[in-house]
Amino acid sequence: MIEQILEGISIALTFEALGMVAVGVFAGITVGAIPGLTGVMATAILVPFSFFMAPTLGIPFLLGVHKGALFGGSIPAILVNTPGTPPAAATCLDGYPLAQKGEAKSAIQMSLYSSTLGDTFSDIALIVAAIPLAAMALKFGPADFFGLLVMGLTVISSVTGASVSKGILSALIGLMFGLVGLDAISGAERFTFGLPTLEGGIGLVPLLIGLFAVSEVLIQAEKKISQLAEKPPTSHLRGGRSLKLEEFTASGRTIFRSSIIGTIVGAIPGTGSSIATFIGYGAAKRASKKPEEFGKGSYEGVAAAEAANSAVAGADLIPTLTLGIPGGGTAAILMGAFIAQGLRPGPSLFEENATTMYAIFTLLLIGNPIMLVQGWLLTGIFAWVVTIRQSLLLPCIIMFCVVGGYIFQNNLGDVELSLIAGVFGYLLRKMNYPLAPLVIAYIITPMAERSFKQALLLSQGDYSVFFTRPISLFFILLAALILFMSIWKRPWATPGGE
Amino acid sequence: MKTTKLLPAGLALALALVFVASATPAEAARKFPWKPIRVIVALGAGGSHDMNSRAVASVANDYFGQPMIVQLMPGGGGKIGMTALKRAKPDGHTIMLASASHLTIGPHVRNMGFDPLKDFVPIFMINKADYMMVSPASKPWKNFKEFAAAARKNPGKVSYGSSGVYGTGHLMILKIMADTGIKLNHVPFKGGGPAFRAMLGGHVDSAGALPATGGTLGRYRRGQLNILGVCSEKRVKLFPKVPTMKENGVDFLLASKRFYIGPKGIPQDRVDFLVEGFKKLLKNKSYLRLISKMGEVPTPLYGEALKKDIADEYERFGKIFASIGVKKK
Repeated sequence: MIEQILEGISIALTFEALGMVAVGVFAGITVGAIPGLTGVMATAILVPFSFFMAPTLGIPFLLGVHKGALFGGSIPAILVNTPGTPPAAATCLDGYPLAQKGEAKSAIQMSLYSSTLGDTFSDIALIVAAIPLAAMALKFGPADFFGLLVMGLTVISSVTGASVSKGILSALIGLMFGLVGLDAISGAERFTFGLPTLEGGIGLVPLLIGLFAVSEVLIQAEKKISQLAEKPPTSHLRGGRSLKLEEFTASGRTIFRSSIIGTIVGAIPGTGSSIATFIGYGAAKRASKKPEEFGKGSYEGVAAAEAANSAVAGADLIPTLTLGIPGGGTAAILMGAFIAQGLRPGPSLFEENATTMYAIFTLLLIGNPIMLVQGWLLTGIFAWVVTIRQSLLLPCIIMFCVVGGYIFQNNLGDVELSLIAGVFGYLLRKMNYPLAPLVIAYIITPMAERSFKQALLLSQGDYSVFFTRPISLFFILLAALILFMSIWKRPWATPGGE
Repeated sequence: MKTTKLLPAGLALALALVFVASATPAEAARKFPWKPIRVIVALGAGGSHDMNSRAVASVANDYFGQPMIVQLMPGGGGKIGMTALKRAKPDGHTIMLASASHLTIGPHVRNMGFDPLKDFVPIFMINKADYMMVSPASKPWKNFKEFAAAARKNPGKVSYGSSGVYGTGHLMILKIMADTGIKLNHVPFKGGGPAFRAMLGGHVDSAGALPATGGTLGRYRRGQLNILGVCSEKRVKLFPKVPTMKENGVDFLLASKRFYIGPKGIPQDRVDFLVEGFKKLLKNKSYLRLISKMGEVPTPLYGEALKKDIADEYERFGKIFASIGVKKK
């Protein structure tokens, strides 16, 4: 074990591996800093490229993107009051007022420190929890998996978005998408309309590229060309002061609290950083000595939001790597990347690929100081990125969508699929349907269906198996409780969702 | 107006980049292989094919002058990967580590969209592993006889987890039921890995496995599972106490053969180049150590002999399906 850890660390500490993380973090912050480009979208586009790298390079690269985007989103939130990514929405509340006071630089530094600390906390939680939890996964029979998946579906549909009914409808659409392809048990083709692209089901990567990236371009395309070619209003970064030590230490407790909240929310399948941010922000406001400053330019507010949303990054991978159930949208894509690299989530992951996993964990941790240094030195560049003209950016995004969709399986049908998904995603977003429930339901459905049928095969068709096994019963009761609570009272409602 | 020109300019830039990316210099002038060799595996991660393809890839650079890049294309009962291979440019840069489930079993039971003997060229069989039947140590039976007795007492209740409908594992259970008259409860999973995991957790009573699956050998030695039988002609050196399935009364030989195929039309000199490379690779000590840990036996086979082996296997599986009355859908 010690030997494998050391070997893993030695793989991680090569120029190549560290370089890939640095490139990933840089790409992530840049993408996050561009309003409209999200971390999910960036990882979806970049996953196919990672197939061509060794697992100890490709995966850390994507993890770097994931990390960077969570911090990067706060830059335009502070500078121009536009969240770069949905989880940064809460950062606008205090970040922008600070920028208006001429304290943009120190606000971004606050965001950087709290993001880094939140992320580190969550990475440590992942490393500590993953191995014992993965071993526990052996206790999960088909019925138990089904119970857990039902709970995941319930959480995602009732927690994201402004309305429970729209969340559930979106999840139902995802469920329908998940049924396309070969029947899990009998192997019969379903809803494929004879199209070869659909035989294996709707591809995850093309679907995500379409839903998140293509739809965003379409939304931007509604604007007039003259508007797209405009430079966003320039910010107040220059001449600002640096964050004072006492301002940082005053937020210590807040950062710690938000890190815990983000980690717990991240570990629940189906929930994402948007939810964590608002819970973290609300909790900080309630606990603060100066709650009246929140919303008017409180450093504590920036810290609360940013620590919480970055603390999701590592914890998201806990259910993903131990049970094979993605913690959120980005985790779903990362899981695809792990599988494509031969790293199958579950109990065997840490037995058979111990060295690789330790290398990946090491790089995950090292990514945090790398982000800190980049944020320190390059804030000027990232602030400039905020002002890039959309008219230059959008065609490049479309190009990446097409290339990414194609190299996923070298299938032109996937490109068509991603464009269709783009139009579909555009319509859903125009009607305010959250996309996250759709994606999670789409991923969970085939797994849930298979476990459901396997459980029934094993119980000889007796449905009570879902209620007599303690693990399964626990999750189904929890799902019922969450659904009830979400209809009754929704303290965590967030606009937009992840 | 300057600003309105920016959108077309951006589009032009994007287009130019696409063209730059797709342009390749004249191919004839270069020596094969001039870019990494893509190896398609139409099965999921962590399975035995995945591990084997990566074992070869780990040393491939020394023998082919280019790295091998494994691309997993699971799903669709192998259709996705097989179709990708069939459509791939036959220039030798795209090959596949083929699976019997897809190439020689699949076409007997469903329309796979290819002709297993005509659409592909066999390249090289590198090694094989014998299929076996395993059971968790927590179950009351320790060998196949006791297992069969338990199944006879509770017809249809003793379960068997397979890697999927009409995969090799499914074929084995069909043959067991046909030859012994017992009735088992077949529970298909997505790939051998998940089936093996359900078996380890005791959720299914037995499963098909290969020495490489989920660390079977190590777990057998540690007493976590029992091997009920192995589908080989003779007993296997790694676990000499385990009887063959033939000794158990099931006339079924099954090995997972690791062989590379390519789309038809690859120039013969390139096939020969690959064959020579594989032959030399089979002498690599670190490779041999790697595969012996996985319970694999080197079985070099190529050219006409490999072609005949594939054709024979295809015919044999067809006969088994016919004898147990499974028809193509």
